[in-house]
Amino acid sequence: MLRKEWSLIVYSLMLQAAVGIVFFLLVFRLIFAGESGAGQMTSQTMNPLTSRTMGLTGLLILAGMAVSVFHLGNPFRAYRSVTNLSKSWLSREIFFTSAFFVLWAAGFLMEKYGNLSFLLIWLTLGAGVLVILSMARIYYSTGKTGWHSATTFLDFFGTPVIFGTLVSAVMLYGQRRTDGVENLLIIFSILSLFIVIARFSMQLKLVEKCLSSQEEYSMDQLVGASLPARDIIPLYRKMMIRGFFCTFAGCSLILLMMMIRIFDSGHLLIVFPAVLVVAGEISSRSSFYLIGSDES
Amino acid sequence: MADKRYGMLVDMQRCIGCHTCAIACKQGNNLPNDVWWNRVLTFGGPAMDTPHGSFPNLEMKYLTLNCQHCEDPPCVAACPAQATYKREDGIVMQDYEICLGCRMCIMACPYTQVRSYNEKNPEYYLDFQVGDAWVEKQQKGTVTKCTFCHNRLDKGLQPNCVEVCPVRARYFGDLEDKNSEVSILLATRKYTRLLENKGTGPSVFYLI
Amino acid sequence: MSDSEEKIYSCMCSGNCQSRCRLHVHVRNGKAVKTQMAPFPDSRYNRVCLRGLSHVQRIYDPDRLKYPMKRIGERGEGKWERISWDEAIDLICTRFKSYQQEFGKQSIAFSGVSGSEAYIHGAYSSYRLANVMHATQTEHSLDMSDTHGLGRVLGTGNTWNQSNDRADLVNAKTILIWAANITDSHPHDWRFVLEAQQKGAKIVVIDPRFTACAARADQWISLRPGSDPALAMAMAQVILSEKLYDTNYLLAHTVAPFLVREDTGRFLRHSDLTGVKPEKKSRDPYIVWDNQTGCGSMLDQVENPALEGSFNIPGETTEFKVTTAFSLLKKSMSVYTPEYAGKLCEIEPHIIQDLARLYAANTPASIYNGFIQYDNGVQTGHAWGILASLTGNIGKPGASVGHIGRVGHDVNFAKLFFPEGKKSTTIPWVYLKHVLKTGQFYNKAHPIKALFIYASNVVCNATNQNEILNTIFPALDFIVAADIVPTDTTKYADLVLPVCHWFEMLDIVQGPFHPYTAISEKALEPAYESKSDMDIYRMIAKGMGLGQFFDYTDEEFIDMLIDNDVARKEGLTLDALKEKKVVQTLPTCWVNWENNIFWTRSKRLEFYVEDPRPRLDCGIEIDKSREHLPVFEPPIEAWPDHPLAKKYPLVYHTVRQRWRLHSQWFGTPWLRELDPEPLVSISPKDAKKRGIKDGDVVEVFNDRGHVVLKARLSQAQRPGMVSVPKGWQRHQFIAGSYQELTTDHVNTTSYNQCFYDVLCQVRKFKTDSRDRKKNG
Repeated sequence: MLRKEWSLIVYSLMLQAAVGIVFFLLVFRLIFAGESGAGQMTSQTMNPLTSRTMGLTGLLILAGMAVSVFHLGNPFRAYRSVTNLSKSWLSREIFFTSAFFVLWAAGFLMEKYGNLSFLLIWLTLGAGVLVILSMARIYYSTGKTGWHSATTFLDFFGTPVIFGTLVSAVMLYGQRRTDGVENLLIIFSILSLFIVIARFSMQLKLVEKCLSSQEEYSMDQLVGASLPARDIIPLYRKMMIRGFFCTFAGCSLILLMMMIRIFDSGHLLIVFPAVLVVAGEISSRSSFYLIGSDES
Repeated sequence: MADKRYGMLVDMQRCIGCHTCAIACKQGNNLPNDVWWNRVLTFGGPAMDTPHGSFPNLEMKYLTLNCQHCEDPPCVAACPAQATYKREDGIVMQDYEICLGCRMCIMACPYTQVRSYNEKNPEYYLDFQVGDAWVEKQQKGTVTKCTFCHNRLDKGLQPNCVEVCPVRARYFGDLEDKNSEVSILLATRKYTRLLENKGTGPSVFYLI
Repeated sequence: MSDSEEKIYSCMCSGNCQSRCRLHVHVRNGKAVKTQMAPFPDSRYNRVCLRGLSHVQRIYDPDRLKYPMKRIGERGEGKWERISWDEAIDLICTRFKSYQQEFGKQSIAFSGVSGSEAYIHGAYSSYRLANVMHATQTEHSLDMSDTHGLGRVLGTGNTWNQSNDRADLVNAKTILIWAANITDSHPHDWRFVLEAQQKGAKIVVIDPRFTACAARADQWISLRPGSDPALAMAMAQVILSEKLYDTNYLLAHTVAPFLVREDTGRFLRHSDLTGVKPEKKSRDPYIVWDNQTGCGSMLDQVENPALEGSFNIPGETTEFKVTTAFSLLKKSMSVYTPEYAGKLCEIEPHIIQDLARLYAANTPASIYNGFIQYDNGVQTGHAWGILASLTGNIGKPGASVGHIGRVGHDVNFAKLFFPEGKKSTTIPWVYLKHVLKTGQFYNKAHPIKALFIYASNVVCNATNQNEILNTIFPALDFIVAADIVPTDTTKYADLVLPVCHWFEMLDIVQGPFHPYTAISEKALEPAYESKSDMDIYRMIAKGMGLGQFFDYTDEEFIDMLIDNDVARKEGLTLDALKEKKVVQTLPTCWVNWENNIFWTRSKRLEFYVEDPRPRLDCGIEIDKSREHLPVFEPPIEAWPDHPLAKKYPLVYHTVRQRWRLHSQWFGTPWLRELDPEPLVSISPKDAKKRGIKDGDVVEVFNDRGHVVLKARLSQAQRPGMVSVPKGWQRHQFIAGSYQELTTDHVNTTSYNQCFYDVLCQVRKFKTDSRDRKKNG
């Protein structure tokens, strides 16, 4: 069922992770960087961190864009995909993704050959937010029961926070202890947990909505594409529950690791939350594409 | 106001679910294997000829479903490449030469399975083209759907499905022309359109 | 490609749905690319269906028989050797000659059914050869039970010429659609029914199953399968007891006032009284009771004949005890009260009363009936005739009963079929087994050694498949099967001949479902080495030394049929056909029996049958006393009282669906995309009892055989019965065939195959691993 959708799952997760990372980069620079921030992180720490995150961001954007092409039946016509900016959210998404990439590239070069300006990070983040916004609008505007809800926005804007938290934790893992950073990550881990719980409860409600309206007998039921095929609901439920538990467990582990301050020990320990969060988000996103499909 | 707006009427009182329209479309448009632009649905269940209710208190109604050629087509808005577009006469078209195969139109369409996606090279049972000579060749990686047989209209013919209906349950014509058969029927008969609440303004009307 | 390269031919879809649609066959680069509905002069008759639009896939079916093939393995093994036409014809003629020399001329049997209803190359194509060879011909034994029952009343015998034109249905105020699923089998008639309904007519569908047509009707009456005669007779009882009948019509146009002799059961005639035999049988007047004079007199001399009563009429030598036919009818129908019949039919008595009142009062009323597929079909048809007689619902616009078959009045079949007179022997298919077993027909030796099957897939379509394969075929030394594609039948033949598709040969086609006669042009060259039916007979005739009878082209044969004054008067000539393609040979909306002159001996509606005879004469006597008027006989098998009903509690229907015509179109890919596999339809109630879920593989079986297929739970199915779709080939089932279960019981009155008179049981089928794999 998701055979045709895998590239979209990967693309959306990668782009959202990229936006999340840029967001955290901005936050860290705002709060902790020597000059304007609280000064907890010296440029010795900050610069390699910035460089690594920028590298990862670029990798994610590029890979995401490359993978997304696999979704097209005619990849060589992809250049035409921005010709309907006035109406099509997909056109806009592709446009903003390109803008996101260009701004990132500028930032990357600036970082390499000079100093990365705050304005550029702000602009990059802005483009990233627009990518996510148009991405969410694409699905929201189809009117499908599984997509036409606030869940889509929570999901698409929540994933960057979750991935951002994870990536920050990974990046800072093994660094010298800085209480401020850990405290910030504690806050974001808790925020991630809230997002995961909220998303899960909204998904449960969606299932209910999809099931309850299927009992009726009407013309709209027969010809409408908004409801998922009934027989995919159990699979959806399975995927979304799996997604919830993995991401929840992953975020909890990050929280725990921050709280007991085990940054310096157990180098491989961070693999657990990382694997859990990535698996959880893939599962959750797969369920998202599943419930919008009316193919059985 | 446009000079012309093509519309199709399907009389649900008359339709007997015989599938002649579906086959006429399949043949006339040389549709690839497993592609159907016009399908016959039965109320009561996903299986064909499924009545609603329980024996002997039953009813059975059929509904033929093709592209609704909406006045405000969500597919046109969704298409990033303008491969899906609406003609002056209201026909919603799919340009195989431009289509990226992103399937946004399929996702955006509120009606189920009126479009088909040629994931692979279209396959046919026969090694030569059947149906009308002027039918556009289908391509791999593009989306296809009902065109109201636009090439037939240009030649003054009716769409394939309308021409053949054994019970005369299908009508086609200009909705803007107050004297056309379709306008007269709409003025005199009760009708419904599919998913009116979506605000798409379909050009296919179901007489009830 | 420009349109000018496309050539359009006028062809006729000549299958046995009898709709006879005119098609335009579009040909590009020598290939048929499209079949399209073509116009008739009156657009009301324009018609086509999903099958007619799928011919391209039949013409270019990769499985088409390509050249003559001789069996080299065992029968049915599927091992063949390609041979030339010369070898094939030589083989046929050598065998035919030796059989005819050793066992007599009748030892060759030709067996065709309805593969094509065109006149030259279709179902009738062998008649000429069979007759000049003095061979045997099998008669199809299909759809003939109610036809015979109603035919007795109308005097129409073995023809289907009973009803009005279907377009005349629009004039009816009541239409009873009885045992017919019009929306699947005759979709083109449905719009006439709809038009009547829109004008206020009441449409009642009488069918055990719920169909699309039942869904659209004003009323649907689900009756117990096989109880149709009880319902019809109960309607007659209501009409009689409530005096809803049309006395004037009964007296003027039926045998109601005729006096039936108690001793012989025959109508009293003038010669009975005088004792002098008349010069001509037809000049022997019927005697009726004159109410004014109080004595029996000749029909044409009595102004006010008695409708009811028993009388003693003195003759020259003896006194005759007589009763009017009407009184006898009244008496025999009196048993069938709505209460009694209601129990048989499982219908509320008041529904039967209302139905009878509707039919008698809301006139004109038409009965649009299908073919009764139970053993008791003769009674049903007879009872329909009684209903029409009582109410006068016949011979008027909107009033009609029975099948449609008014064709051939302008065609000289005799000239084509019987160049030397009728010389072949006709044996009903259902009786063939007995002839083969005993070697006798009509008390005379009648060995049959060879069977030539054409325009027919008899193994798939005739009842009791296992008997055909295990008794009939083994009794034959040589079986030839001519067909377009391989079928269940060609598989078991010794020699297979490839036949042209309909559009690869020239032919002539007539209604009856439209009032036209049309030419069917040769649009395409024959595919591969296939030959037209008539070309095959031309070659065989030459080999048999009978070539002089076949020295005619197809055109000349067509001309032979229509070169007569009746046809000429209608403008039906070969030139007209070639120029206009379609010639109107009947009026639109024609009304049958408008002058109330029927084809019976008395020219009246003979609802009392004075001399009941079997439909075909096989030299077997019948009990006439039970057939003057109908008596309810339960179906021979499909009835709860039957001893087998405990073991096999479900009635088994083999239904005709829109996806095939009999077995034709069984492999057409477009249709198979929509209808990929056979499914047995079972009511959820019956399924639950057997632990069967939707999609389960089940075995439907009885003592005769079985079929294994997936189950489809459907509320449309009346509990107590199952339906399996007709026409699938053996290889399309998981195992067995739908036709293994049906009975080859011989009814010596109707000689009709009773497809629905069958009991069965259903159980879950335990698939082996191979089957599981196959079913995913």
